[in-house]
Amino acid sequence: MLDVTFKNNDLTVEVEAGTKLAECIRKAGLSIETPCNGMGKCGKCQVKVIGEVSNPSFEEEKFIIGKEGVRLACLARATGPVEIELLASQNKLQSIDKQYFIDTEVNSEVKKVSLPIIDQDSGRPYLEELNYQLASIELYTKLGKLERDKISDLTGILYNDEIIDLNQGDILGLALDIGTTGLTVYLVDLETGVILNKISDLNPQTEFGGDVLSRISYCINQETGAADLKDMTLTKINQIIDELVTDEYNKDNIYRLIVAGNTTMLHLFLGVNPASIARSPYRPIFLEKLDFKAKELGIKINKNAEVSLLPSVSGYVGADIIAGVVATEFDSRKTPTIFIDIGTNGEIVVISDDKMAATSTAAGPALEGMNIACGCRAEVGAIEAFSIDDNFNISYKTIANKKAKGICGSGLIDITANLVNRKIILKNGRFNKNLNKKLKARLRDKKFYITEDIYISQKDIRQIQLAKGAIATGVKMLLEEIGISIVNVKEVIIAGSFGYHINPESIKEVGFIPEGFSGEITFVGNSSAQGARQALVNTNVLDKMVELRKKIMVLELSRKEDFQDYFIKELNF
Amino acid sequence: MEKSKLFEKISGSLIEMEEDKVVELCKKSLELNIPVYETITSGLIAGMDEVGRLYEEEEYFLPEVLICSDAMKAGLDVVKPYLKADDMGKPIKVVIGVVEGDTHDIGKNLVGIMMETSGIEVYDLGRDVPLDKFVKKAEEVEADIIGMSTLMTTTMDGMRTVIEKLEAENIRNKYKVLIGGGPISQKFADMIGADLYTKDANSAVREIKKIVWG
Repeated sequence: MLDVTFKNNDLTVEVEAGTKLAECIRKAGLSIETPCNGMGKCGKCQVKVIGEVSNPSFEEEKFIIGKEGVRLACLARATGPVEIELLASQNKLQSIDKQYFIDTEVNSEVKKVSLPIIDQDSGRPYLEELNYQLASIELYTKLGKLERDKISDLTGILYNDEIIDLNQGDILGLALDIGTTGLTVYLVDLETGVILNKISDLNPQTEFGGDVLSRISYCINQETGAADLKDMTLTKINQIIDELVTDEYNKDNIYRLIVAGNTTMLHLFLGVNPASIARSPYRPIFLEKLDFKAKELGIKINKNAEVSLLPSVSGYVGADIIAGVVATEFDSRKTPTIFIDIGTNGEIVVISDDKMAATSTAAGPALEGMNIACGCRAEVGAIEAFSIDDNFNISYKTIANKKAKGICGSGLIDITANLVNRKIILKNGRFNKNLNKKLKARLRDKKFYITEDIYISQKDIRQIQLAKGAIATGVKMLLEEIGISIVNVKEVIIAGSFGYHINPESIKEVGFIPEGFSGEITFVGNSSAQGARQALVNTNVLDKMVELRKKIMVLELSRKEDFQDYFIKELNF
Repeated sequence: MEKSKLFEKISGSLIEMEEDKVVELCKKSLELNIPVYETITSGLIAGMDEVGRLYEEEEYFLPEVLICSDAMKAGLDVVKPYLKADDMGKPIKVVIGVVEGDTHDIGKNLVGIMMETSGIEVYDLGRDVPLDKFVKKAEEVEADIIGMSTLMTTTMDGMRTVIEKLEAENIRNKYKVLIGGGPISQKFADMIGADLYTKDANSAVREIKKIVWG
């Protein structure tokens, strides 16, 4: 056994010789993201070490060359006493305050009712005066106590005509969105529909890889994988709930929880192994709306609270998409409209004449800043906006106006759009060899420099072409399936935190939407969390989601014969 | 026209994606009685080699490679009928496919095209290929190489299974195993005992030739 210490943290853990640094870090209760799941491909888990560690492999060498003491935590192993310094800031994701918000009429299944006054002169059990059942043994106990204290003025909390609590104050609910990257939870007053508090945080599962496939791999390769991921997510959710209620509210007053998320995240929320989703024919274990008691799931709110998982359409078109579609009233659009949720997977839904079709396409993680030389998440210092004016002057903006440290998704799109628009990148994605002399010095070794050390490379451009090509192909094939032309599409709704800071013109310029589109682009942010909130507040919305699942037709792109032909055509800018 | 000049023009037109010109020049080579195998190797394959290099350097991308390979195939269609049976020597034979459970095949297709246009004989098993089939086909066609691809981390272990099957049947030494695809790395190749991993299609072709011809 040997000691591992942590710089800036007063922590020591004992590990066996040969333990990977990433494991040491997790053992110490600290966290480190390993987006490629320890395959040594992304180079994002760099740490600084002093002490005895294994020699770097050829593969690791590429990422750490010239950086003294820096190693990849997923590959380097402790061979003797080591001090580790965490470098990658485990910043919370930039939270999006601006939200697309549709006011929802309040019609919750959880209601407060005044119960008849206990007749102290009657010998008949009070319960026989009521038309309701009590949901649990605790409520009989509670009633007994109220009788003993001679309290005769009672209120009941009803869920679908069953009493789930007696004589409480607030009736509260939670809307939870489990994104592959982030968790969002709203605390909502179920009598008024008002959002009392909300918290967004990183999904702790990101430690095991950035995309759903690496999570599923973990569940395939580890006996306890699905249970591990469930437990860590549950712990985090309970922690967030504690933070949400503060001193002002009581967790026991939370009677309802609605959960949205992609199909894999919902499987993991229940601890169900999602292995079959990740193999052709991509079959999930469940898709329908599921209901459980909070206590069954280990969610620390009122024991009798009812938890509902929203329905999904397929393994790769999940409840997050259904929630988003309903939240944005997409399903009632009278003119042809496209809904796109841009992430590692791009989910697309098209509606025309009340017909709806959906698909999912592997856009890759480039748009989240992965596989991009200077890419990063939307965190402090990330370049999030960029432009080149008519005189070829460059300007950019970073998150929190801090020194530029990388490029996040929205920055990437802005940069690409401007480079295409100014013909620095040609239609086929190649850098133009004949650049304006003002810009010439910025293009060195197939890299276009934005600052002294931050650049976008030819390879990065290729990654963006693949991502946008995948989405444009999905859109095109769906439109064809449903029988409409892009020219007739009046609106494109872009969901997901990705799109929020993006200039719509940049989206068009880069070509996420096939040529010929002249309608509006609307950004709606995390529409999945909004959908969960609406379903929480109004039971009709929940019913609508259940109906919608049956209405949406799913197209599996990767099994279509002509996918490649379409894809190749959509790669050019 | 001098032979070498013509070859240069064929490769040049191919690289420039001018299919009609490639066809025209290939016809010309027949008129001039230039041995077909020379036109193929010094003109067409040489051109595709350059296309592959441009792809590897990220100058060319998928669309360009596909257009060039179409031009190459058009040229090949012109001259091939006049090719004498044993002129080209014994080609390298490769069995390729996307492993069971995965239906993403664009990467594999590109590798297949690059191999074919460099004179390798390719047996493409398609996508979502049952693992037994790799071994069976390789035995049947007496392949030199078994090439496997996948885009998904969840299906990459199938590659290990194929190698284990080869070992179990005592035929591991008959084949070189090439693997590739999004989640694949040299580390993974080492882990499962594959002979070759390359990060793109062009280096796959180059490394295969190295490994087979030494």
